[in-house]
Amino acid sequence: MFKQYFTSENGLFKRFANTPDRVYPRPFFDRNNQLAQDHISRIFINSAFSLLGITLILISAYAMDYRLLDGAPIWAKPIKFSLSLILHFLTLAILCQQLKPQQRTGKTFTLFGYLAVASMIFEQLYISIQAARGRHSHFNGNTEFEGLMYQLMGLGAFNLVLISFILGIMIWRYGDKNNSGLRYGSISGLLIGSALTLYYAMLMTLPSVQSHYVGNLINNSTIPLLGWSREVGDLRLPHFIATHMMQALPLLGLLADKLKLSPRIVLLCATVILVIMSKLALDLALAGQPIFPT
Amino acid sequence: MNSMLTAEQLFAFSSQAAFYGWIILILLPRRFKLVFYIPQYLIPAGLGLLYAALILKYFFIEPGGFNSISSVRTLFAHDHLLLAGWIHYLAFDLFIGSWIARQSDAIGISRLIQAPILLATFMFGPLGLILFLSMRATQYLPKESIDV
Repeated sequence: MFKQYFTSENGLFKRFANTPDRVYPRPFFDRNNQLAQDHISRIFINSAFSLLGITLILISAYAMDYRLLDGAPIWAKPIKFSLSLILHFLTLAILCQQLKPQQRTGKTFTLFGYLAVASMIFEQLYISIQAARGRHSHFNGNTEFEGLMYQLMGLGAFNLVLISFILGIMIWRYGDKNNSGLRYGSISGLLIGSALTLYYAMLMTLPSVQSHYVGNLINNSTIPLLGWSREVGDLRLPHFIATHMMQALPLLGLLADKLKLSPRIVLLCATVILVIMSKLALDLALAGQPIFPT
Repeated sequence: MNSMLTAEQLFAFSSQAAFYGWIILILLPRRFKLVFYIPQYLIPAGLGLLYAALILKYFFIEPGGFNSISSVRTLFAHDHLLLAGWIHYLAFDLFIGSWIARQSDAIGISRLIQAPILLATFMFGPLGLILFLSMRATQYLPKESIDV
């Protein structure tokens, strides 16, 4: 009698199967139904939307709670994370449309996709709760528990860039080989962006660094909104450039398609420029220099 | 009631009931209607009856009211009325959680994403509701509609 629950057609794993007969609600920006309705596309979109709700809650906290941590409003960090994760999951949802449905919903991509969503939930929850408690989430080994959570966050962050790296490889190998700017932009953005993000993030976790600042803060002046230091080197800047290559390069590819430019040349130049920019930002930060000195 | 069960015992009992409801809602499969009816109807209704008994027995004889913070504080100074207020949270949160779960299933939100939303509703009711409503508000139903 239990056999029916373990067959993929009609049982526990039913939601992993494509159900083309069902019509789901669509995101508000998708009036032409360009996003597929399979479970992977929907979980990425719904991840972004749930983060939108979280951002809403966090902004209301930001508006009423004036506590500071390291001179910055405590709610700034979770808000920045949720905004950046919204971008990440929207990017994943939109770019994975280049895969064929059976590859997008295949076992590998499903496994790593779910892992990434679970990691996103964990990271966002922990960062928000730590902010509410007025404590650090990253670089915090003050208590045994916080030290453990900090290590788990490293694992979670790894899962988040792993999925984009895998998506890059899958678009490269299985995507429609139409030589469009979108394709080149997706491959270069996802692969290089993920790899560099991981590399720059790992530099901050080195035992000798263990901070995103290089140098000693005095009066803590920062760039509005982004919060990068204007006094000392800030390792978040190269991380930012690397991470958002995942959005910048596919968009640039689309632009090249639209303007009928050669996608290869445009994207090669853009990739080289962005990689050099992030490397320069890294060198500047490691030298203890701010990007916009006071 | 005061001769049989203390407020403390009733508190433990009702919190446990609500907790089992949340476990069912978050972890158990939704395919069995009867199992889903436990958190959606059975537990909130049971808690509701307990609330009714408490409020009818104590509200009209104890001092305090709803019109200012200090009168609410006076009201909640009484253990059984404080308990009634707590049961109000438990019952409504669970019912709203079940509603969120059912609506989420209907619009195809993965159980993985439902879990933290339900957890938020469990811990801090309105937070979960805001999360779910904002998720639903960003999606629209195509013309060939589904049954909700």
